[in-house]
Amino acid sequence: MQLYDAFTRDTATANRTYLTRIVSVTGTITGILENQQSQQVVLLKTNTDGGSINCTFEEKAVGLNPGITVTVKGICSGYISGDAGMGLPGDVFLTRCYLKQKR
Amino acid sequence: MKKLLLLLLIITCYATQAQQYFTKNGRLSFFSKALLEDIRADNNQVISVLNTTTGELQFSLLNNAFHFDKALMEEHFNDDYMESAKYPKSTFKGSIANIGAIDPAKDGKYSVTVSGDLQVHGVTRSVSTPATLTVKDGKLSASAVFNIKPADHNIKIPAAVRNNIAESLQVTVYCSYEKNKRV
Repeated sequence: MQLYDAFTRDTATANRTYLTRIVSVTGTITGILENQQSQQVVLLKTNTDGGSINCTFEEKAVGLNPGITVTVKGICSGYISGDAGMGLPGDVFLTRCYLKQKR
Repeated sequence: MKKLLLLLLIITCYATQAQQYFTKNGRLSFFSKALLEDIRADNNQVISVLNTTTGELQFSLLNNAFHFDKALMEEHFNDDYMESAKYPKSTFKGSIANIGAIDPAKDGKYSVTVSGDLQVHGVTRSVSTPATLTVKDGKLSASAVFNIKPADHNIKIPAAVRNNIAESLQVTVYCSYEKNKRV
């Protein structure tokens, strides 16, 4: 996952390139959650186990399941590193997402 | 003796491992009540880690991920006040004082005190607030309400909008944790 790698490799440069920009990412769904405001959150797989592209959807997309590949468009709000002591990798966050394509 | 020590070490490691919780989609909202308008913003991408053995608690969020009712408010917030390009994150690093009173395996509602360092807009300040930890059906969640003054974090509000933005903002945090199975 190009976007995730860009942030973990060099956060400062990735911030300049992607922050507040609309990005389109294609990846495999690893999990679907619901946040406190009942918005759908779709996690996309990266090369780092446990690290995701964390996509908060503006409106609920139907027919999504873990394992399928999707293209999501959203605004990139940045990267938060996880917790090294906990072995918890960080996520790259996208807000106001919508489903562009489902394969 | 060596074997006993090893066993003890394994047990200790296991006990510590079992007590780590995290979320990557916690919620933090703030509310400003001023003469001319009420402003509310929500961030649902809060990363938080909690160690219920030691009481260590951390929060981290991206200022760009706050959502306002009006796009213009979001723009002012990020560009003029928070300077989100310069200070992308807000963080809290602290601990729960009376963590010993909490049993994450037992349903219940616990009143706790959280203290630590809050970093907003590059300025770190010590804060302390009452909070609630809830265990329900084996799920751990935490909530707190506290106030924060932009001036304390060197955020300058121009005189022209003084009637639009409160001097003190009410912050509400709510995190629903999952157990860290990765360690």
